Amino acid sequence: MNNLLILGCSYSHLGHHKQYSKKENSYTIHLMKKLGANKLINLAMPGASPSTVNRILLQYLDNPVFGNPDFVFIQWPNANRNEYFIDEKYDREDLEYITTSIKQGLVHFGWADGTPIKRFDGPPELTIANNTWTSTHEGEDQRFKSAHEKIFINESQRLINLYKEVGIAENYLGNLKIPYAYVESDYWNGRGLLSNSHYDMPAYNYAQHLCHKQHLIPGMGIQRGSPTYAGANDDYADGHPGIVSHRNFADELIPKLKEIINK
Amino acid sequence: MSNLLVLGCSYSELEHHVKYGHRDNSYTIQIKNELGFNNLINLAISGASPQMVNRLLFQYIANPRFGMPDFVFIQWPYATRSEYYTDNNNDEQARLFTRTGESNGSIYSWKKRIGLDITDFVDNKEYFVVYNSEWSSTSETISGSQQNAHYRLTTDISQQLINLSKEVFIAETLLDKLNIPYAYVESDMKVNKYGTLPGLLSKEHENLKIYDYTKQLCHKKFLIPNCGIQLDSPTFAKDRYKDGHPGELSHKRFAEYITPKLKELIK
Repeated sequence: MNNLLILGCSYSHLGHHKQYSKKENSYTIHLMKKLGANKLINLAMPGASPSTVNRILLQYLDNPVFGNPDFVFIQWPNANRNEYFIDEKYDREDLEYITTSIKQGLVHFGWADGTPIKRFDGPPELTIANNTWTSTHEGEDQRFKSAHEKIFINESQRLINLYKEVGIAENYLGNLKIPYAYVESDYWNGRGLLSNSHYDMPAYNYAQHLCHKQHLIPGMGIQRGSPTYAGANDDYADGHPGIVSHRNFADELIPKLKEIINK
Repeated sequence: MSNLLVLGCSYSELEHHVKYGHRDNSYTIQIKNELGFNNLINLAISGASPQMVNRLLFQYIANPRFGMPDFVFIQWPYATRSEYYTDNNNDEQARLFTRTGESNGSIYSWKKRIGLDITDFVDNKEYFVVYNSEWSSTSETISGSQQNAHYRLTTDISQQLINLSKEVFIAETLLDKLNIPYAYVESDMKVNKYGTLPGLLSKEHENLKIYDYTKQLCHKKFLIPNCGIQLDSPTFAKDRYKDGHPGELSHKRFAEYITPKLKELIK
């Protein structure tokens, strides 16, 4: 495999690994090595919502400056998040993705790794415009957050929204014939929004038609409380799953991804 | 036997024609007859949002009680609208569609809201029942606090464009996969004394920062641009029914405008 593209939220971002240990502890780099990818294009962004993932995915595929992906892995962020467009310009920086190790072929989102981005002679290699979006997870505007929580408090509404975003990615990647797989972050206590059928929820009658879930890897994830989560003692100081959790998740995930890739 | 399926909001619903004029005044029946379809399956609902249109489309395709459509025409409702899942069970449990008349074939359309007697209808092949009680429309049944929250989140035209584009993409993807031909118009363009306010899906919004993202969301190959049945559309004749909806002449002019375009698409 040449290029492996990964999208997700802070669980897939390299920042806390670089800050508290080393980036090689991220499951994303385990995947890169074990799947034999020459390049890892890690476009994960802390605080991302499912709709952010699609925005970054479509924007990248429209202009794949680091190369077309041979495989896409999506770690869907929690379904209780969303992002909204605001015409006011915010202080949030645009996302600047850079190659941090040419030898490893590693591309990731630069500024959130605890140190200021290293400026090169030219412009950043990939910039995702971000300053006119407000995230309900990280956004500064409490008015949006309150309004969002009023509407997204219902599990059925979250189900509908996540299924729509998953359907958009599935159809987009399916149309481009790019192989892919994904996990969800809403799986805990043996139950997930995507991993299970929800016939007890009337909204499911509609939601089940929105995505086919053929490439969902069910019942696992990198989030806290997932089946491979190694417990709070393993967490980094910022509360994200630590070295063992990432190792466990990668060990479970890699054979399933190999199976999909080799089909 | 051929079926034309129409989805939309009150602009496409037959009710106000029946009440204030004649059912055949509706553009939906005119295009059915002009295009030579046997049956019209009109699933338009007053107060519908783009999200609701897709919910009805998917639900109908999964259970095509009156037959699979040979062509689908969507009149996308205003992008300022949405619907949200609330869990608040209201008394109007479901909407009932059934055969409501003849016009060179059968007309199937919205009949009434049904409540506790819903079980009398769901298994009857003569009826198509849309469960609706747990959904709240921002134009009809939503609570005040949810309405405020909705406005906060969708007041920006760019956000409206994203929401509409996602819904259009969902419908396009489904119908493309099923090889069902279709076309659609939007309700967000208007002509007034100040000039033309272009539709959200039109190219005139290239100046919006978000346009580059939204243009990837839907291909818009079957959008019929710069027209619509809404108030202040280019074919609006200012002939409102008593309830404020466009009247007989507006519907006739709209039908005359889109019929040749639809014929071309069907060909």
